[in-house]
Amino acid sequence: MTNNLQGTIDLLILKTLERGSHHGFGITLHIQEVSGGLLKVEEGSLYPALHRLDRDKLVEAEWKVSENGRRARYYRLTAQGRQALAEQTETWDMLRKGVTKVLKFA
Amino acid sequence: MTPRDPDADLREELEYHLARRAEVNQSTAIEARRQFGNPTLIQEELRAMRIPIWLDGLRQDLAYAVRTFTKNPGFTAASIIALALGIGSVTAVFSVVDPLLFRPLPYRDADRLVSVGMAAPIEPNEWLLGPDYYEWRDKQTAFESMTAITGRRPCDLNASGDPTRLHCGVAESTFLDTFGVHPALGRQFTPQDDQPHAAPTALLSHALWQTRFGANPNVLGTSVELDGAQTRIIGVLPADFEFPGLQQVDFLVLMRMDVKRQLARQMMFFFRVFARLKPGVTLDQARESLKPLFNQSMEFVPAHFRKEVKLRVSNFRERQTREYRTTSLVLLGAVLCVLFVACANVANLMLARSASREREMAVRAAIGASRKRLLRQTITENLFLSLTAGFAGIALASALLTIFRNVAPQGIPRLATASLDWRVLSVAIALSVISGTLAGLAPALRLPRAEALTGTRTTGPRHDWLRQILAAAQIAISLVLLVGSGLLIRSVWRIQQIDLGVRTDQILVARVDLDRHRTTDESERAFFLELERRLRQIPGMEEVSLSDSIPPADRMMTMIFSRIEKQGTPMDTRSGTGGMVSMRTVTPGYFQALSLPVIKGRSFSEDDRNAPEGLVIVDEALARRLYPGEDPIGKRIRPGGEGPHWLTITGVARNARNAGLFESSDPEYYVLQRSNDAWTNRGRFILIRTQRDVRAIAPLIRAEITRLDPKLPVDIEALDTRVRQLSSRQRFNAMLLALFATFALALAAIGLSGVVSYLVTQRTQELGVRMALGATPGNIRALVLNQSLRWILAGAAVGFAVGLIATRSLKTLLFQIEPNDPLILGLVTSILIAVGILSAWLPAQRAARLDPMVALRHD
Repeated sequence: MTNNLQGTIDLLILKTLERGSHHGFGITLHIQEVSGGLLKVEEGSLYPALHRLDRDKLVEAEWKVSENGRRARYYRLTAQGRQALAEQTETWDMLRKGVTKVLKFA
Repeated sequence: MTPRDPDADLREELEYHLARRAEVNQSTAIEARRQFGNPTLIQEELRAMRIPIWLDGLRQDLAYAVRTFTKNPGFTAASIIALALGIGSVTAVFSVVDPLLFRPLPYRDADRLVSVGMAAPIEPNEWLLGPDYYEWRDKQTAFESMTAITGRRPCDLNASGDPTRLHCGVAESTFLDTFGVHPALGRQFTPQDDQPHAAPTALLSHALWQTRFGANPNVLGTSVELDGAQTRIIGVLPADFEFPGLQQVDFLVLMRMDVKRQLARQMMFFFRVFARLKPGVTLDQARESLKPLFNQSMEFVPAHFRKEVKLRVSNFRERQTREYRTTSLVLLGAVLCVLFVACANVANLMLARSASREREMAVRAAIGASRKRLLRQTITENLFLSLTAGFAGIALASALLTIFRNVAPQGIPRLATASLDWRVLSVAIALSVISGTLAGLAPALRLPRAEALTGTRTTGPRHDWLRQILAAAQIAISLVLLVGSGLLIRSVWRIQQIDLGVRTDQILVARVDLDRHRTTDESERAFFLELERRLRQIPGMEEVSLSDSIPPADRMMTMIFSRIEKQGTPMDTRSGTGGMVSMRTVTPGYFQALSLPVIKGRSFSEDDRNAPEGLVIVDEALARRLYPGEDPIGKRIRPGGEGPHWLTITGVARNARNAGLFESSDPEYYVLQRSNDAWTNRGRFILIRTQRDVRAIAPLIRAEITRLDPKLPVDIEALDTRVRQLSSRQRFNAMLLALFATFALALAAIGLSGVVSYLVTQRTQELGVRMALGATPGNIRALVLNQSLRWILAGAAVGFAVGLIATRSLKTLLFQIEPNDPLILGLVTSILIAVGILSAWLPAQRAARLDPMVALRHD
């Protein structure tokens, strides 16, 4: 199992985009709201992660007019991204189970 | 959507984010930005994602390098010029030497090709006489095949009434096969083509095929008139074909020898012999296996001559480049020295610069640049510098190569085709990288030290030492080159001082070769005597003479001394040959034309042309040998000791050089060409002395010859030009070495001046203190000069010692001068020390003019 925190933010982004395209700020907002304020995505990690996902063709970017009428860069899942999301969700589940078991044992 | 600048894209994306955050949090833009973190950092990070990281680092480093270099134009220009001089010199010389010494030869498995034959002091390159060759060829076991050539001879192509003097390579039919050369077109020679009475056949050179025959493949099977004989063209040589002597040949023709007559030793030709070793056979094994055949051939060599004759089997390339090897290596060594001086020079500049940048580096290290990163920065800078210098060097090399081609003497093999091709260019690039690395090594390895941050001077004395050693090394190397070029220049000067015994100014030499196949001896004699008569009638001609050769060297006829019979004394050949004697056949004007004094007896007169008996003039050397203590005038000799032709000695001429500039002269005699004498050999030189401008006279002579025979190729030259050409190679070598020595000296002088300036700057405060304590400007100057002088002298001493050893390799290139010639050694050493002091003088002077108040405050 080779996971890390970088993988976690990727997973969060992918999951957020599963429900439709979003711009960067929308993604942070969504994650913050859905997690009830528990998870806060730093911009310093978000954009590098987004661009990395873009480079790896897991997401696609596109300029669109946003809800407030300004141009914003929207990200959308690709087919590859969808597949990666499925794989990473499974990996995350296993990680979570594994960690929980270790913690309980102690 | 059109692709846009990714940086602008990103900026817009992040700005949008900030704006929305401000909106949502209802805070100011500044507050939002604070929360956001560092957008520039994100941009950097994302940019790093787009481009491979090292490339981006390189871009940064390069941009930084360009910035620092443009900030220090003096340093940058000095380093680039120094390295470019070094790299350019090496590249230029390498482009000339490479095709000679290193490049593959255009023959199949060329390392198996050898040159075979006898070698002796009179002809140090391997040769074989016809009968020996045929014996060896048929009985040897070491070679796959053996072949012979007689060399290159002029031949006349007469196509559509337009005669052209071309060059024919003359070889045996096995020549191309042995060398593994396949015709580009047509076929090889066959042994049938090589029979004495076979119809003449020839292969065309690729160049001649292109220029003269329009590259028409239908030329095969056609006939051309070559030396008056209809010759069938059976093939075209490949474009890269090379004749073994590397001379240009337009046709390859066959020797068509009568082998039986040669084997019977009724007729003996002089061959150059080449062979292809069987696979796995070494040179030594081949030589061993030829020993019995060699010993057999030695039976025919005159006994007194035998012990001088050696059997030799040499590698073909070694044979081909024997003459040029030393020169090539000397020049290559010289330019490598120049490059080394340049590197030392730039290393010094870089040391000085790195000292002044120490604080900058320390700051960069302090704010987190890794040691690796700083090292990489330094290396990038050096490579940037040296590659820039490399390109400048290539431009310089191309200019130098053009100069070489224009001033080089005839006959430097492959010079015309030398070029800056990919081989040479890759060497140039490699040299740039290596020299950049070498020069940057010292500063690159220095650790940026934290103390540098404090601003106190941290350059330790160790680096001052290194700097001065580098300066001294430059001086030492320059001295070696100066000594070398001094010796070569002195040799050239010596060559110019040679007393030829004849005057060479105001004399024209016209060489006329009649078409051998259209003239008889009779018609040829008539032609030349008529030509001589007509030339005399041109106004301004002081003297005209015919001769079969001209001094100081040109295809002399020679005779063995012991074969000259004196009337009344039986010939005695038991005591050996007595050496060689030169002979010329001349018409009466010869001695006047060349201002060669007849010091005893009388010169030939016009009336002698019809004298009843043969007449001869001997030179002093021969007179002394033939008639020691006697008066030779009126005595009769019979060279060759046969036939009825006794020659009466009418006079004794002063000795004149007759064996070239470099060999000692042989005794000589001049036979008068009487009007009715049989014509000995074909081709004559016409010597014309005139008071008019020789260049203006040449066309008149050419016109007169054309009037007699419009088809005749003529070759007219001033005699002093001819003589100069005999030493053109020496002059060329001396010029090149002097050029490179000058480069090295200039670099060393600039380098030294730079180091002294640097040291003065380093010591400014100290000098200020000294001045405040009462040192006069003179004291200060002396102080600086003294310190410099120590290093100049140390460099000169080392250079002197190395020079003494290194110049031994020049021995074969020197003329009448020893490698340790005290005059040259003393002279160039003084020049060097003077230049050294001069280049230390300027910074010393600057030190002396320092304002002590300013100097004291210098940080």
